[in-house]
Amino acid sequence: MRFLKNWRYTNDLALIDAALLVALAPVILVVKLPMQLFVLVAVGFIWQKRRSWQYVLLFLGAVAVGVSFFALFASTDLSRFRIFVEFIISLLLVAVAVQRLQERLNFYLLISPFLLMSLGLFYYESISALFFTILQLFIFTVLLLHSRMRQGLLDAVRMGVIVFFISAPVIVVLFLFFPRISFDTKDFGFKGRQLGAAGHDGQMYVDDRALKVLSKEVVMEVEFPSGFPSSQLYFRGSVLYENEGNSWVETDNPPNARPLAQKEEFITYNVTLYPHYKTYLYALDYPVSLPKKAKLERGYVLKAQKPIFQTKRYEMRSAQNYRSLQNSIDPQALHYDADKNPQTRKAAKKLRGIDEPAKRLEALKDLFRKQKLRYSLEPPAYDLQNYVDAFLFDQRVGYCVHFASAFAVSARMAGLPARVVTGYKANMQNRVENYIVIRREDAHAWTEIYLPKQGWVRVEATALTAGGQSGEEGALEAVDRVKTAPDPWELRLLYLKYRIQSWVLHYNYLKQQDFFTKLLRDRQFLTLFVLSVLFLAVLGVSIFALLRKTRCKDPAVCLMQKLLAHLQKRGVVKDRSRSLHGFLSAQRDPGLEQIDRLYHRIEFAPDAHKKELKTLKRLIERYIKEQ
Amino acid sequence: MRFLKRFIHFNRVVKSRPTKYFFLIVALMVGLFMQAYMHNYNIVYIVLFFVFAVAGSSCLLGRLNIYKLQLKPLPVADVFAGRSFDLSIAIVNEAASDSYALYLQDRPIDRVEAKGERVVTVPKRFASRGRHAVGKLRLTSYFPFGHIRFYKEFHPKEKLIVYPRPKGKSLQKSFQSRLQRFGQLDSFDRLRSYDPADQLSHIHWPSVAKGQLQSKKFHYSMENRRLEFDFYRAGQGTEQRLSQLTLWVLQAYEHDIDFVLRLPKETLYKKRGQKDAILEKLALY
Repeated sequence: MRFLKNWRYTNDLALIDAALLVALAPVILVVKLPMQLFVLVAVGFIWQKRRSWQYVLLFLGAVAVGVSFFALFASTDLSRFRIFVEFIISLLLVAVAVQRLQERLNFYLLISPFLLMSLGLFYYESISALFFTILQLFIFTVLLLHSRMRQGLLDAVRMGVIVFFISAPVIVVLFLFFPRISFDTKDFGFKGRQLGAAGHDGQMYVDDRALKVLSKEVVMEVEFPSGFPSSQLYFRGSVLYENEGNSWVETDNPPNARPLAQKEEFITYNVTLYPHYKTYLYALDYPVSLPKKAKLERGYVLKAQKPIFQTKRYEMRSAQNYRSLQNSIDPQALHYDADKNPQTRKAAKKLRGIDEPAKRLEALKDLFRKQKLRYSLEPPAYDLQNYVDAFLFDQRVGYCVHFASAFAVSARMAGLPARVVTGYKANMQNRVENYIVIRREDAHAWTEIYLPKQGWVRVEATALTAGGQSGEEGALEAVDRVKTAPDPWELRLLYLKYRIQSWVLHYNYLKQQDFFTKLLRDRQFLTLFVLSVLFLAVLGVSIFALLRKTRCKDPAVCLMQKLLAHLQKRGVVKDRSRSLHGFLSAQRDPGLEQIDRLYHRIEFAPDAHKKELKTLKRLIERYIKEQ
Repeated sequence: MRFLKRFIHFNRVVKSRPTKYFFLIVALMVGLFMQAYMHNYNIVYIVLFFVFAVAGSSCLLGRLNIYKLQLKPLPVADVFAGRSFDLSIAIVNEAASDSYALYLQDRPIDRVEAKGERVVTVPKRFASRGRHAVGKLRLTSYFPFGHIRFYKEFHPKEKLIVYPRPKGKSLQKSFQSRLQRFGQLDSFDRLRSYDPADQLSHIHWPSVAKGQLQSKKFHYSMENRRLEFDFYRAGQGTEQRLSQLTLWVLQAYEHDIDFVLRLPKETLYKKRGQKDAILEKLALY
């Protein structure tokens, strides 16, 4: 604070340097290495005040630009808008460096920080970029004010805060109401950002390579604008038919030629999927819509045309009640290795006697329940030659992959077409209102059994464990509790970040239409909105009133100003030309005379004590109260 | 209603004009709009709306910056027609907050403290003698961002007496014979500022050594001869005569020479401390 207070105006060039520094920070990451080196050299020249070396700097700049863009000359990259922006940024950097070396403030140098900031915005669109841009705007405002006011930097900061707060309601209203068009948002993202984040891929192992992801890294965020569904949420990833001993693998899935599932009871939701470098797009069972540049494969597996290298947002609709019927069942769905798992085969053979497939399925579930299987993320080693037998009859401990795999193999042995589905099952502990975070640790596997009249039916084999007493739901909740509970603060922050992303960064024509509709139809929402804007306006005015008034620096003078203001209200006004002592003495009021004596002692006596200031305060307060 | 009246007054008192930076901001906003609209760039929209809102809100801040500033011209001595002088003006800030980035005419002022005042001088010149109004004074502010120039015009009621331009033959030349000293140098009277007509022996060298050019003034034993400044003998035409008389009066006061000023309808005698009254008579003749 003292630093800000004591920072005095020196010259406009110093302020331009500060603004350029702030504007350059994100831009320097965009340009290529030769340009970065050029900027370093330019800073050195400017630091050394080598004014006569401007042509040398210009030459170095030309070389840096040439080297940066030479390789792109014959490249298709030239067709990309970004390259042109980068080229303009590079030219601007050279121009700014040469101009700044001259140590003369001119118009071009003056606008260059803002130009650099605007060009940098082509590259960044994220929450960090949003906050950094706001910070940049604040710093530019303060520097501009500092240049005009030529006082301490603290005064400029104070004025900057005022400007920000009184502008805030206007910005909010304009942002929400300014007409938008329905173009897609250009998603550049931060350079070199984002690690792959998937707990799922197209294979599933039951041996020591088994899928066991404990990472809390966020895979995707899902929002349900029209209310959170009451059922468990299964996000389909891949459908696995082929069992190769200890693993299940994805085969080449032909495109799904059948119409989408029965369109009843849709759930609409927005998915924000973070890069995982694969083509999977996750959707709830069963998807009935298709995002742009995506395809639907056999088993209602949703895939993007290209691997997901950048955050992808898509709106989805899924049908909660569905009947996924097929004209013919793929023979793979009934395939099993007849030489392995004799115990299971024997048990399943008995079930084959039940004609009704649905009843046979129930009998199979009962078989699993009777085994009193236990869920554990750290199961013991299995006999991998007969792992279903080992799991069902020997160890009886495992987690989702073991349950799903064993159930699928058993069902096939019992003559029920079965397949394994991997993806994510939402952990309800990660839910905040209509929003839920899906993490890598939520990766899950389940089984689907084909029943002639119902089509493919999901069977949550993992729930056939401890669910004996409290049912399948209870069993699944128990499974969720095995995972460590998320930090509520982290969850709230994630939610806040998501809200900012969805309402600020991805606010578009459709969202605006929704917003208008809600304003017109929902009176409570309208009232809330008007009150919020009014609150912002009142806050702005309050901050304006609070900060604009110049604070007196001398505490004794401040107290006396309070007294004078009180006297003025009573019609006793001090003439500007009159001394304070003369004015107070002329009132012939013993109380005022006492205050006057003490005030002058505090101000002028060398042995004045801090305690006397408290006495003065008390005297003035008492005087005001008594009057 | 009261608020509305105040708002109208507020806008009427403080006027505004765009500067070149205003047009730069407009161009910038157009650019940002293009950038934002093409790809629904929400951060750019925010920047665009920020620039718009800040440019708008600064109108309020700019007006408030000078709304409660008042100008009070301070008394000024010896204003002569055709000669520049510094007019001192007190800028009084009646607001509870400081005012920044001001210009009074062309004179820059960084700050005027809240409830305080600042005295600034502005060069001024009147072509003719007489009683003149101070004239229009303009207080300009480029606060907060300089894209709009806010200004407040003042027409002070105070009037200045502008004396005739001192011009003509010097007192020494005009009254050479009369100014010859009578009698012997009697005694040292005081130090006075140097006049080129002073004898070398009358220069006070110790003062010169200290950087002040001063001469010694002596009493003459028979010095009390009074000069007569006659309006009709002072030249041709009223203005020339008044200019001549003004020069003589000033030089007479400077050299402490007694005189009587004979105007067509009035005769004025030199008295100590009456210089301004005599010059005023000449100014308003």
